[in-house]
Amino acid sequence: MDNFIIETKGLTKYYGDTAAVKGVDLHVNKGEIYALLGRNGAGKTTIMKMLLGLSMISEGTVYMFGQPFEGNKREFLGRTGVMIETPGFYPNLTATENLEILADLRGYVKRDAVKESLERVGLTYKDKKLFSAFSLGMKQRLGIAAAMIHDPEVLILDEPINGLDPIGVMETRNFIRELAQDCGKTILLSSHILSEIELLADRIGIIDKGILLEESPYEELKKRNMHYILLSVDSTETVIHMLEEEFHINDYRIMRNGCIQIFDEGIQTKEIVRFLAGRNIYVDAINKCSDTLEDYFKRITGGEGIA
Amino acid sequence: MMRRLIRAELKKLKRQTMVLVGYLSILFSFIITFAQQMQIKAGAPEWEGFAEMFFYNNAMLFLPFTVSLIGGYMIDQEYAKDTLKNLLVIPVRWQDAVKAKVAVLFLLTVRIALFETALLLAAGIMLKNRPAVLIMAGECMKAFAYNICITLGILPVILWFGKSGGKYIWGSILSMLLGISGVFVVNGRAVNWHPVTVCFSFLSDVYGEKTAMGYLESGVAIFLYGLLCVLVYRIRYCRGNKTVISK
Repeated sequence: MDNFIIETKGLTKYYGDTAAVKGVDLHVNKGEIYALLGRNGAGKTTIMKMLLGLSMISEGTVYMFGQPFEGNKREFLGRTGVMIETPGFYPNLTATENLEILADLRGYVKRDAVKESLERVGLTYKDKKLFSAFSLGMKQRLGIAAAMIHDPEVLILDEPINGLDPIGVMETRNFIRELAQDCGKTILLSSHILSEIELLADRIGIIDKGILLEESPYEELKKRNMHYILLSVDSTETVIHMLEEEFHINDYRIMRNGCIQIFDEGIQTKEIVRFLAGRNIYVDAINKCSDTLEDYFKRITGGEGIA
Repeated sequence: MMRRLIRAELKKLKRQTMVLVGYLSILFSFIITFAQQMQIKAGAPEWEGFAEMFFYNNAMLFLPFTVSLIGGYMIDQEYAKDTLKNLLVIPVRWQDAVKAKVAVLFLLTVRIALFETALLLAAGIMLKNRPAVLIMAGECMKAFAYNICITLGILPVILWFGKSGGKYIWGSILSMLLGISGVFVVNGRAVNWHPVTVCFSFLSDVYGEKTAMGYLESGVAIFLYGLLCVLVYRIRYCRGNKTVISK
């Protein structure tokens, strides 16, 4: 448990009889960028809210910095920066004034914290523009600045690139990466934008209908699951049985069109062809394929694409 | 922490239209009083009468609605603008934030009292009947006391409706009706118990029961309104775990 900055055990949230989040065991390591990937309404924000004590937990426990969250809330929140959902600020105030309020309430921020946070996200310090006149992208940047104002060890960012223009997306991505790599911050973020997750995350948790389906380092996930052999034969059931016996495969999937996807590593296509030819089985096609993260997401959630 | 919260609440009032509405309503009350006085006294109104009527108009027509509107808005905006989550993750207890808002609301009524005093001074100049400094200071203290007592009287309404997501405007309307209902009790025995006229026996030169019993009743009523505020605050903001955004 000590290695995990954030850990949950059986985290569950019921709204009436409906479970919005079911038995989630989340593990976020120190210094990594962990991305919660899921469709809208999958339960990402609910998990984040429960982690922060903003939403009551129905079942399960949250651990932060190796200690139970309950009873250490004040200390843990002081070490955590948060941006949940659309950033909310006072519309009659400027970005600087909004951040000054938060900095003052925190009470232990550096003297130039407001200036530094704003400049870090590309907003001007002491700009006269009121929050009510901000674009969605500027609001998002201000939300991130507010999360960083007290130089936290952990950042929890809910959809941080939502509403940003392409340049803003790139800049945000770069500084999130910079925060993790150069400053050693641990970042838990959520997103439904697969392309960004692919470029940013060290570790991915795939969540669907409130269930955490898979949690693994992105590189491992890519290596393990996103490469497979696609085999097209006539008698799929027989072939699968034979391959199970000969190559001891156990990670495969029979597709609706009769093709077989074999995810087990270490099997060569030529070995399969030679083996099946030896058994007088005609192979229509065999290919080494690579899934995109979206294909993989669709496969494991058993549904449509994410966006 | 409370000092920081109060400071934060004061900063949040910057460029706040609601506060401007508050001052405008007092100005409107001033204009109405001036028109009334001109009507009654046939062009030669006296400053003392003007001041009494100005406080009366404020109490019955403007202050309950205005204070309730500002107070309700101060609480409601944290829900409406979705800023409550920013406070809770600091972490600031919502109960403490509400306490700070109430404190700032009282400070604001003091500021409004200063504005009222300035208007009274302006009236004195306009009526060519400028009061002595001591009398002016007395009227200023009276304005403070009126505003604080009226705010205390309607604070349970503010606290109740402020929590109900966007319904603070109904609280303001109820407060306005409470204020207007004061017109009907001001000459009766209920004057010492009504949330808006509760302080009249102490402060008004004309209204309220100026007897030991009257003072006692008013004192008890003010205490009971204070108690009611605490009760509503505890029910609406402290019962269960109110520091979470969603249950």
